[in-house]
Amino acid sequence: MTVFVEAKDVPTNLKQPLSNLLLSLADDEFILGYWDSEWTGVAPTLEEDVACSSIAQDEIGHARIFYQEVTALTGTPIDQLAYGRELPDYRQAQLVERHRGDWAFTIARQFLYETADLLRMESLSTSSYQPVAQAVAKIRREEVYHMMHVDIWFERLAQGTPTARQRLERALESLWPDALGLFEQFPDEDMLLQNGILTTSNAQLQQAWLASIAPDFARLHLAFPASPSSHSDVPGDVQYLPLITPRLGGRYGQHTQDFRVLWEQMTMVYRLDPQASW
Amino acid sequence: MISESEETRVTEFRDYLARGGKVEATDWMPDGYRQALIRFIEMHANSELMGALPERDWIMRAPTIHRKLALTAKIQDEVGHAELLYRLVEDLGKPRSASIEDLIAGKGKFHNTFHYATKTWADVGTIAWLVDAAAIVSQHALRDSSYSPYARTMQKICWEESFHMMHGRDMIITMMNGTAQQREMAQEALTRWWPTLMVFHGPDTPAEKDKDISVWHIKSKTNEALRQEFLNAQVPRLREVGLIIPDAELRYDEQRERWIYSEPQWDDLRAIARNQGPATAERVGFRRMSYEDGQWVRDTLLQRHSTTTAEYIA
Amino acid sequence: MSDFSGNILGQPMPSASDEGEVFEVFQQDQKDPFPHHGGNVRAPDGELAVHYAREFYGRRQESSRLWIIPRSALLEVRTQTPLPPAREMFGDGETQVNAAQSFAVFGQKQAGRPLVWVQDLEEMAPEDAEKVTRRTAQNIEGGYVRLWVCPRSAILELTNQDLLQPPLDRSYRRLDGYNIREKLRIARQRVQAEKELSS
Repeated sequence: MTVFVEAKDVPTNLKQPLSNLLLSLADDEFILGYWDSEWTGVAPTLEEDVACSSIAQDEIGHARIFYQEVTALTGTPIDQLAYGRELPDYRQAQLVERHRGDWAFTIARQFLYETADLLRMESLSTSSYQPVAQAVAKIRREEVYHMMHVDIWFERLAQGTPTARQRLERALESLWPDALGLFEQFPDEDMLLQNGILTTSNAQLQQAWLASIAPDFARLHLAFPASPSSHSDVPGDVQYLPLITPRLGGRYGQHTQDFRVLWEQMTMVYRLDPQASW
Repeated sequence: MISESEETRVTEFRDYLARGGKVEATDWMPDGYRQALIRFIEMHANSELMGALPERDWIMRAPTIHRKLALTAKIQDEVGHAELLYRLVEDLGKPRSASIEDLIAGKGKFHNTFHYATKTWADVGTIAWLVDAAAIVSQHALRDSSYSPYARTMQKICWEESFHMMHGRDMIITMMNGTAQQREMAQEALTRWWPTLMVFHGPDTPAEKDKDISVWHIKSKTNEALRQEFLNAQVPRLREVGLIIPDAELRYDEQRERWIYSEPQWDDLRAIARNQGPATAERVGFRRMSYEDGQWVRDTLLQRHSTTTAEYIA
Repeated sequence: MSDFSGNILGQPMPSASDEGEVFEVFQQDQKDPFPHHGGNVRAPDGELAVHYAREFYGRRQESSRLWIIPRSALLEVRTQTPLPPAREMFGDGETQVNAAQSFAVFGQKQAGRPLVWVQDLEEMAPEDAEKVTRRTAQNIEGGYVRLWVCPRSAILELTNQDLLQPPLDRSYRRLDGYNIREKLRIARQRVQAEKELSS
C-alpha cells in the first residue's frame, strides 16, 4: 500500500477527492464550532459557559488543521477556504449546521457527533495520507475531554428532571435523520478507499457507530431508530437497520436554511473586502 | 445602634487596614467593610458578565479563523472572571443567584462602558485595546487590596488579560495598515468610543472622599490617578499609528506633569449609574432572557438523586 | 460541613452558595515543587468539579496537576492571624470522620499569599491530625498564618495530560502569540510619510 508522505506525493487524480474529504472534515468542525461558540456569554451556568467555549475553540482549532492541509494541496489560504466559498461549496454534514437550539439540543447533537467522530478519527489514524494520520493523532487526544464532557451531560439530562428528559427526547427525535447523514458516502469514496486514504467505508463506520451507542440508548431507555438484525450466514454479526430516512446532501453541497443564515453572519465582515487583511 | 465594644472593634479594624493589614474570608470583619466589598466586587462581576454581551455577536462575524479564536478566548476569559468574582461575593454572604437576580431586575450596577452598543468590527478591536487597557490599569492597582481573596483574584485576572489588549491593538494596527475603508472604520470607532473611555475611571473624587480608598483600603489609587496612567500609556500608542483622538484640548502638561483634557460628559455617566444608558434596557433584557432560558438546566443540575428509569418507561 | 473533633478553634469555611458546592483547587505546574492554592470553583458535585477545575485552573496549560477538594472536607486551623475568626457567623458541622486515615496539610506562610502543600500526615485519628497541625503551625520558624487540613481521600486529583496539556496550537490566547513589531514599523512609516507630505 502506497503511503503519501506529503501533499506533493498525491497524484493529480486523487487531489480533488482528497481535498473534498479534508474540506468535509474541516467544515464539520468549523460549523459545529460556530454554533458551540454561540453559547459564549449565555450558557446556563457560568462554569458551563467557560467549558463550552473551550470545546468550541478546540473544534475551530481542529478545523484549522484540516483547512491547512487543504492549503498544502491546493494553495488556497485557510481564511479564503473558511470564509470565501459560496454556499454549495461547503461540505459539512447537515447535522452540524442546525441552529444550536436549547441546551438539550446542543448536548444531543454533541453526543451524536462526538461518538461518530470518535470512530471516524480512529479509522483515519491509519490513513495512507500521513499528514491526515498525524493531524488525527493530535485531535484524538483533545477529543478525550469533549467525550468526557458530553457523556456527563447526556446522562444528566436523560436521568434528570422530567423537563430535562423531555427536552432531550425531543432534541434527539429532531436530530436523528441528520445524524444518519453523518455517514453519507463521500464523493469518490471508492477511490479514497482503494488508495488507503480512507481505511473504512462510511457504511461500515455507520454500523460500528450504531453498535457503539445502542447500549447507551438502551440503558437510558431512549428511543433508538435502528433495529438490530442478525445475518444468517455470519453468526453473531449484527447489522443495524435504520428505521427512519436519513437526511443527506451535506457532502454534495446541499444545505439548509439554518446554514444560509449562519453563512450570512459568518461572512459579513469578510465580504466587506475579501482582499483585506484583518 | 452598635455597642461601645463593637465600635472599638471597628476602629481597631480600620486602624489595622490603615497599617496595611490583610483580611481573609474567614476573618471577622465589620458589616460596613463586608457590604462595601460586596458592592464593589459585585459591580466588577456584573461588568465582566455584561461586557461579554456587546462583544459576543462579533464572534459569529469574525473575518479570520485566528480572530475568531482570539475573540472567543477573550470573552471566555471575561465570563470566567465574572465567575471568580461572584465566588468572592458568595463567600462574603450574598449568593450568586441573588446577584444575578438583581442584575436582571435592573437593580445591579455594572460599568458604564457596557451600556453602549457595538456597531462595527473596528469596535471589537477598539474595546479590546482601550477598554481593556483602562480596566488593566484599575485591576493592577487592586492587586494590593486589603481583601486578600480579591487581591489574589486580581493577580490571576491581570495575568489572563495580558493577551486581550495585545489582540485588540493587533487588530486596530492591522486595519490602520490596510485599506482606506479599514482606516476609516478604525477612526470612526475611536471617535465614538473616546468619550466613554474618558469617564471609564469615574469622576475625579479625592481620596478622602472615597471610602473604598480611605476607610476600607479596597483600592489604593484615585480615579484620576488611574485615568492619568491610562492616558500616559495609550495616547502615544494611538497617535503613532495615525489615529486622531477627538479632543482638541488633549495634551500633556510638562509643568503640572499631567494630561489636560476637555471636561467629559458626566451627565451621561449619571444616567448610566441609574441604569438608563443607551443600550441598558436591551442588554439587561437579553441577560434576563438567557438566564431564564437556562433555569431548567440549573434545576436538573441541582437534582441530587437520579430518578429511577421506571418513571420514564411509557 | 465536617467538624473533625468538636474543637471550636477549628473553623469550617464559609459560603452562601445555594446552587452546588464549593471546591478548593490546588495547582502545580512542571516547575513547582508542590501544589499551591489557585482558588475555588463551584459545581453540583465532584464529577463536574474536576471539569470546571480544569477550565478555571488549567485551560491555559498552566497546570500539570490539579487537586480538587470539597470545601466541606477542609478544616481551617489558625494560630497567628491578627484578626479573630468569624466564628459567630458559621454554625458547627456534624461530627463525621472517626477512623484513622491520612491527611493533607496546607499552610499560608505570609498574609495575603496563597496556601501551599506542607505535609501529609499518615494514618492518624482526626483529633490527632488537628493537634499535629497546630504544632506544625507554631513550631516551624516564623510559623504559619493559617493551615488547612483535609483527609487525603477527599482529594480529587486530575493528572490526565490530554486534558491539561492538549497538543494543538493555542498561541492565539497568549501574549507571546502576538508580534506587532513589524506592523508597528509599517504604521509609523506611513504616519511619517503623511506628515512629510502635508508639511
